[in-house]
Amino acid sequence: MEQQPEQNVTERQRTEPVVQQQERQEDQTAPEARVFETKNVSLWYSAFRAVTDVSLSVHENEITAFIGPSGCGKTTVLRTLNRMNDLVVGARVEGDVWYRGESLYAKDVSAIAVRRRIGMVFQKPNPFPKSIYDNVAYGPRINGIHNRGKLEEIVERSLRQAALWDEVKNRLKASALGLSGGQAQRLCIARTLAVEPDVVLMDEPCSALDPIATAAIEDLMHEIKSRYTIVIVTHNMQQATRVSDRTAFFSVLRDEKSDTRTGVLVEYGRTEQIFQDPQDSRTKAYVTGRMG
Amino acid sequence: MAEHRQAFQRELETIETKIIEMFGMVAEDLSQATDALLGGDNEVVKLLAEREAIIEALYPEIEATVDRNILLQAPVAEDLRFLLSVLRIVPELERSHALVEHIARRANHILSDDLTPRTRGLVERMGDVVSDMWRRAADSWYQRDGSAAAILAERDEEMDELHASLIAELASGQMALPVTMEMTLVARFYERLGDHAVNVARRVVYLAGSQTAE
Repeated sequence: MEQQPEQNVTERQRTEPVVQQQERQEDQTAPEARVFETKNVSLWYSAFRAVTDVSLSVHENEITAFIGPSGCGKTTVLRTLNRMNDLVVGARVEGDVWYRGESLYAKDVSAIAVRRRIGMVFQKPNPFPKSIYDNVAYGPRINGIHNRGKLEEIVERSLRQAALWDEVKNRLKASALGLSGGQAQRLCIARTLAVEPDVVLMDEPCSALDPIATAAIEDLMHEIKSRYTIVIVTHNMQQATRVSDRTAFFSVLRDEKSDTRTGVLVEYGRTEQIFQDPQDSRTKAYVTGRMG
Repeated sequence: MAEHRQAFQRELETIETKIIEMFGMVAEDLSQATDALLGGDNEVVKLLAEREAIIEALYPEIEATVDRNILLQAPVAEDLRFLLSVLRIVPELERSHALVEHIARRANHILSDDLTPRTRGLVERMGDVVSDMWRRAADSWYQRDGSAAAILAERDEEMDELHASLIAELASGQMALPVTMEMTLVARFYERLGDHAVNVARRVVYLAGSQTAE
């Protein structure tokens, strides 16, 4: 009458937190695999300190996501990585930003040369009012490439990498302004890739796109990460978990006395760790959606 | 700072309450089952059968709530660890209560006079150890304390030794064959209950995460 009690329970493996394994991996990262290293970076807009004391490393061929509430400084930090803040009057960077072992803000470093190596894709697709072809060929032409065959090759390669080629190959001479939002954003990515950058910075690249277009961009990020290093700012936490290898969580520190807000880096780690086992209570509150 | 996702939070708290309830039934009924077996109390058997029915209803209910929340709430961090841990321990709790009920049911078949004094002593000892293991497992879950797993693994070795001693005692052939057969099963049930307590405490290691218990 009695059923046999069930089998195979004793041999069940101990469930170890994934985090421990990741921390072990962390230690093995060679210094040369670090594309960026920032040390105590603060960014000032005149007398206002927008971000304070950010220290983190961006690793080669990885996707690093910056997440955090509005005003936490994640976009500001992204923009320090290719000196975009130079264009803002009164902006000043304190601390060290190393790019492949060289100081990004050293006197003899040209911001133009930096941006050629470190491209950027913006929140709102911003194709030039030119043909699809000319959008992609724009950067290479500026860099002195005028050979037609060579340009055609670059345009096709870039559009393929951006997963747009099949959709536009028969209308390369058509205006880029006729593309859908998702296509326009992939065109902007193709335009960035055309100058063969080392790093692609993306500032909320999908926030103006529908889920299908978003999925297309995320797929292409996975596709290209073996050739590029990517840093993405996103408001969409699920996007961070889907695409990124590491996640940096930024938050806002509020000074009651002066009523000013400053962005801080709260926690930085493997994406699985940040979303499975965050160490800081602020990270926990943010990723679980409890705070805001 | 505003607290968000309050409806989700309430769902999680409801699940936790039900889990604690299941823990309570396993731990409490376990000592009652041992008493019933050794004292021949048939009333307890009815009570435990009723509790078994409650657990059998709770089990699918908890699972469905967890499934729904994983689907709809995209949980992460401690929320995700909690929901996954619940899915992993609910079967352990359900199975364990069934074993407790099987033990109690032996009170119908065995008169306590049928047992040798040494058998009684070993059963009593197994009952005490495994009750203690289950109380610790329940506390470790409630306090999110992963450190209990190691303690329970040690206690379980004691259980295995008691099990071996009891089997040896039964094999000595001093009791009637039907009683010996029943008691062999009982010995096995206690031993399994110890293993389940260890499994539960191991699940708490994942549930607790790497932060120290607050």
